[in-house]
Formats: sequence, structure tokens, C-alpha cells
Amino acid sequence: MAHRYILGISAYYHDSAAAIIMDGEIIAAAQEERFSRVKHDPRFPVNAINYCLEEAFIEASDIDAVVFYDHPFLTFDRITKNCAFAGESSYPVFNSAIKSMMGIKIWVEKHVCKTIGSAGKLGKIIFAGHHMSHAASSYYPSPYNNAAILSLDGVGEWSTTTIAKGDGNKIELLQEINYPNSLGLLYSAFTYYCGFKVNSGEYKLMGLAPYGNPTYVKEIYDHLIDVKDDGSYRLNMEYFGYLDTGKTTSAKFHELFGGDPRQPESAITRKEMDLAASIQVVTEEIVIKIARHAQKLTGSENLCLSGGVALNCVANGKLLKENIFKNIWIQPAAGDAGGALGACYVAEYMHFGGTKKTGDNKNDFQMGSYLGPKFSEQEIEAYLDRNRYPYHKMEYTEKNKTLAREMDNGKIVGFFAGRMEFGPRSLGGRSIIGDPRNPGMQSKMNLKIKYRESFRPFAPAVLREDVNKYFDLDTDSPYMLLVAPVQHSIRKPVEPLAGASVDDMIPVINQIRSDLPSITHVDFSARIQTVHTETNKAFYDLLAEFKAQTGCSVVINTSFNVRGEPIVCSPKDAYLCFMRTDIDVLALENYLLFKEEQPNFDDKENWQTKYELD
Amino acid sequence: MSSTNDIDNKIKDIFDGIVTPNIGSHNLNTQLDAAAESYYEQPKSPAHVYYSFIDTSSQESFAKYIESFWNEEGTPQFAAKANELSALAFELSKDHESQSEELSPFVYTMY
Repeated sequence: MAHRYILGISAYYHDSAAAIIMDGEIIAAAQEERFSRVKHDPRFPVNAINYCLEEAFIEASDIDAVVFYDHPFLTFDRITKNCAFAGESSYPVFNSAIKSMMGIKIWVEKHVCKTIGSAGKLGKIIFAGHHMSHAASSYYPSPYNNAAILSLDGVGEWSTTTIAKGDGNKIELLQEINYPNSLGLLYSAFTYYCGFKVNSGEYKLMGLAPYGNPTYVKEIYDHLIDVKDDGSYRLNMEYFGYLDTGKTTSAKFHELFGGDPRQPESAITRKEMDLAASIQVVTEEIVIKIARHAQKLTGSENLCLSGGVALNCVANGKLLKENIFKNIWIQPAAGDAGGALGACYVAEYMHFGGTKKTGDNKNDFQMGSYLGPKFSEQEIEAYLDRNRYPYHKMEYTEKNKTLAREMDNGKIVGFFAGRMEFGPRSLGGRSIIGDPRNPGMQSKMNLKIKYRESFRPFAPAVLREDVNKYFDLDTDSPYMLLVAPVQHSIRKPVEPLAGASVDDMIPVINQIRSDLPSITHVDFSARIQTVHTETNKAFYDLLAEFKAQTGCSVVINTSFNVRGEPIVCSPKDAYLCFMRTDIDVLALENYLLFKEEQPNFDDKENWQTKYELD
Repeated sequence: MSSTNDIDNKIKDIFDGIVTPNIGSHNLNTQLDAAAESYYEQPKSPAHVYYSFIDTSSQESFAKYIESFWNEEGTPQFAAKANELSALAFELSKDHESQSEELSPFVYTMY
């Protein structure tokens, strides 16, 4: 029997991506930014689409359906009605929306045909609903046969929050909250006000939150949002500007919080820390209420989560602790990129009526999210030889011994192995790793490797079987989407800081809080990745070797890039990042490169201005 | 390729034709209601939120699509300028035909 191939595309907003499935199984998925080297690249994903076809070994004529993850005319409907509500002053919003929707987004089919020659056997594009794509992206690859499905994001067409029920191969939307009321846009308003970039700085705000106190929670509830017991909510639009100006916040918002927004890159003060802590608390409380309601509505013991808000791993950790659901699965590419994958499933199960694989409540169908390109040893060796870069080709076991020893000696390793990750997190396919026991590692990695704000914490990757030894968590967290506290047994007493300014985070950051200081955040939390031999043997074996040498089965795992740069995709990207930073050792599969052996690096471009700050 | 002014004039004409006459006619849920038990709604646009097709095969068919879309949505008043909107969409699409040419060619290799 012929296989059924479905190509999914998300594009034109932020983080465009493509995915391909065969008979319901994922073959490949990748974000365009990894190929184009433009962070959050929103353009039509030419490179990602071609990669997906190449990985599947098929041509356009073999594709049964091409699916777009969003309905541009439904979005235009929302914008038109928004303008009718907001009045004449909203004309600039209408002007820009019509050019974007009617000039670009409605023409997906044309762009697909131009890129790959046809729109597949169906001959026309399927437009999946935005939140349906999100819901499908979390339910179908999950290990469950039924689930409550929550999709929480800024806005997709009309919806901002949806509750659905998955049962077998069907998803039924049950309830929703619509624009302009949006938990994602509320969080983004604080992201903007605190001086970070909307759509990419939200995780910085989340990382800043533990430095502050939630002193503004009352103001938020009293003025900005009305939340019901079932988690449904409405925003007080007097405090937001996006109805008619395209701006996130209004003058009234600024007045409420005592002044203009913080300028990007300026000093972060106690006010931003407290605002971050406050909106984090509010977000967590609302997410938990919505989840309780969804459980009552569906009766399921399983929850699937997606949408940009689902990347708030602190809220996810709190949700897990509440035990509302027995099991939780979160799509690792929870934002719009994951919509490409969800769109594939919408066609497979809703249009073609495919049969969903039976889940075992434990092992998902996301393949560890290692869904991107892989490079063979021959390709790597050819690249290194061609450029005359000195390297050491090692046996697999010897390589792991060497890398573990280097990390134990305080060295930082660029680790490149197997297929690239799909989603915003590096999970040991394209990672920068180091020793979390080393107290200077957080500062060194932030300032000399990543060139990013010093307050930002690093995440631990830990052998799955040892997670509970270090953290108050005993479940799988393979996608780094759960935050949990470090165990009391490895914590260290922290003395109150005398004489430090309340605005100064540096002394706070430098306090040693546990045996693993570089991954222990100021509130003793950590964003955990559990490492599994079934999905990433190379990374698992390295951690096992590090444990054998040091007794510690945890490493720092941060994305293999510098600030503003997409995560590296190819050996060339990895080598450039290695040479532009203080990474000491680069491991390209079994090829090790040591910084001190490399030739002088003549950087032909000023990469520090090339990448726009995130 | 159309001039920016020409396009902007057409957009203003559509705005004046479908938005201006309907100002105040469409309510977004912005009222806070202390007495309400819940703000959840039933899913909007059931014909589109799962999946659907958009017919852009010709200017006429897209105009028909726009008309039937807004009729199905229960807001036929927004379809007043369906023909002009469709014509504008076709005109705008030509302006963006070169978009993919600006992208780097796909190179699934490290060289």
C-alpha cells in the first residue's frame, strides 16, 4: 500500500517551520531560522520544506496534502471586526493587516507551488485552524489515547485560549476565550514594559521573576484582568493599546506601574524584578484554574499543552505539582513552529481519517524532538579537511572519556551529535555543556560564551534515573519544559546579603545555593531535562561517563548559539560559534577540536552586530 | 507593480466601504462583568476552526469565497466590498511575487 505523506507549514508570523509525516509518523520537522540563520525567521520556509522532502526521500508529486497551520481569512475577519469596533483611528492597523493578509498570507498555495512545483496530489492547500494546529501538535504525538487539550497563546485567528478534548483520532473543541482577551498578550505586555522583546523575551521575564517579589499582583487583578473561578478571564482594555494602535500597552498601563517602559539593554531594577514576579504568579494561578476546569469538562486524567504560554516551564512545574491530571505532555515546539507539525496531523486524522497509534501513557511519538538534519562522519571529516582545521578523530568511548575529563577540568564543550532539535530548546543534539558543580560557570557561560544578560539561569540535563537524586521531580522531562526545586539534601545555606543595593542582582547571582550552583536559580529552582538512552544515546552515554568520572550525573545544557543567533544547524555553524566564543572544545560527533590547536580565526563578518539582540 | 499611493487609496476605499459603515455594529468582548460566572465561549466559526479551503483560483472565485465566508459568519454587511477586496488581493500578490527569490537557496550541506 502506498504511504500517505503530509507536509505542514507555518509561516509569516514568527518562527516559520515545516514538518512532514508519513502515515501519521513524523519524518522530519525544522524551523527556517536554522537554515537561513535569521533568528525567528518569519519568511516562507523554503529551506525547511526542502529539507523535509529530502529527509523523506520524496518529491512534491508524492505529497498527498500540503497544510498551512492558520486560516488567514479568519484572521482578516478578526482584524476587520476589531477595526469596526475600535473606529476610524484603527485605519493604520487595517492598512498594514490587509497588505499582510491579502498580499502574502492568503497566497500560501502560490508560494508552495513556486518552491516545490505543486501543492501535492490534493492540488490545493488545506488551511487548518491555528488553535486546532496547536491542539493537534500536542495531542497526536502524546502517549495518550484521550486527553484534555489546552492551547494558550497570544492570538491565533480569533482564539487566545482553547479547551479541547482528544479521544482516539478525534479532537473536539469545547470552549474558548477570544481576542482581545489573551493571557499570552497580557504576559507580552509585561515583557514589553520590562524592556524585553515581545515574542522572544518572554522567557527572560520568566527567568527574571525569581529575583523579585510579587508585589504588584493586587494591582494586576484590580485593574488589568478579571478572572473567574473556572479560569476564564477578560482584560480591561483601557490598559492595553493593541485594539487601535498596534502597541501592546497604553498610557494608563504606564501610569499604573509608575512610568514609561524600561528601555531595552538599560539597567534592570527592583521594579522590573517585582513586575516579572507578579505577572508570573498571576499566569500560574490562571493556568491552574483553566486546567482544573478542563479536567472537569473532559473527565480525562491526561493533559496535553501547547501554544506559546506552554513554554512557561515554571507555570508547567506548578501545574504538575497540583496533581490535577495524572499525566501531562507538552509539545516541545509549543509556539508557532510546532503549528507546522500540528497542521500535518489535522490533515492526517481529520481530513483523511487516519488511525492514531495507541499510546502507552509513557512513551510519546515525538522521537525526543530530534527531527532535524544530521551530518555523517564523512561529511564532517570532509568539512574539516577542506578547511584544514586540526581535529582528533576518536573512538566513541574515548571521545566520551575525553569530554567528561575536560568538563571536570572546567572546560566548556560545544556538543554536536545526531539530528538537530525541533523547538526552541537544545536537548543534547546541538548544545553547549559544562560542569554544574563549578561555581563560576554561570557567569562565564553568560558573559564569555553566550554574551547575554548575567541574570539568566542555565538548565541542567540529568540522567533520567537520577533526576530525583538532585531535584524534587520524579517524572520524565525530556523537553526541558518543567521546572522543579533542587533537593534540600544538596542545598547550601544562603546568608542574607548585607549592604547590597536592592537593584543589584550580581551579588545575588554569585551566592552559592547548592552543590550544583551553576544550574540552581535564586529560588532554588531548575529547568530540568531528563536524558534518555532511547532517544539520545550519544548524550546519555556522555552523561553516564561524566558520572563515572565525577560521581555527578548532571551537566549544564544551554543552546549552541550566541545571543541573537539561531541554534547551530551544520558543522560550519558550530565551528563558527566555537571560534567566536570561549568554548574550549568542539565535539562534532566523534571529531574533537581543541581551541588552542585551531589556526588564527579571521572572522570575515562582525557577528556581534550581525545578530539582532533578542 | 502598483504604486504605494494607488494601493493605499484602494485600501482606504475598502476601509470606508466595510469598516466605517459598521463602526459600533460589532461588539468585541471587552466588558468586564462581575456577575458573570464564566467568560468562556463556544468555539466561533466552526466551519473554519478545524480546517477548510480558500478558493483563490481566480479573482471571481475569491470574491465569491469572501461573500460566502461573511454570510456564513452571520456578518454579510462586511461583504459589501468583496469584489474590490479580491481585486486588491490579486494586485498585492504580484507585489510580493519576488519574496521567495530574496531567500537563500536551500543548501543542505555545510560548505
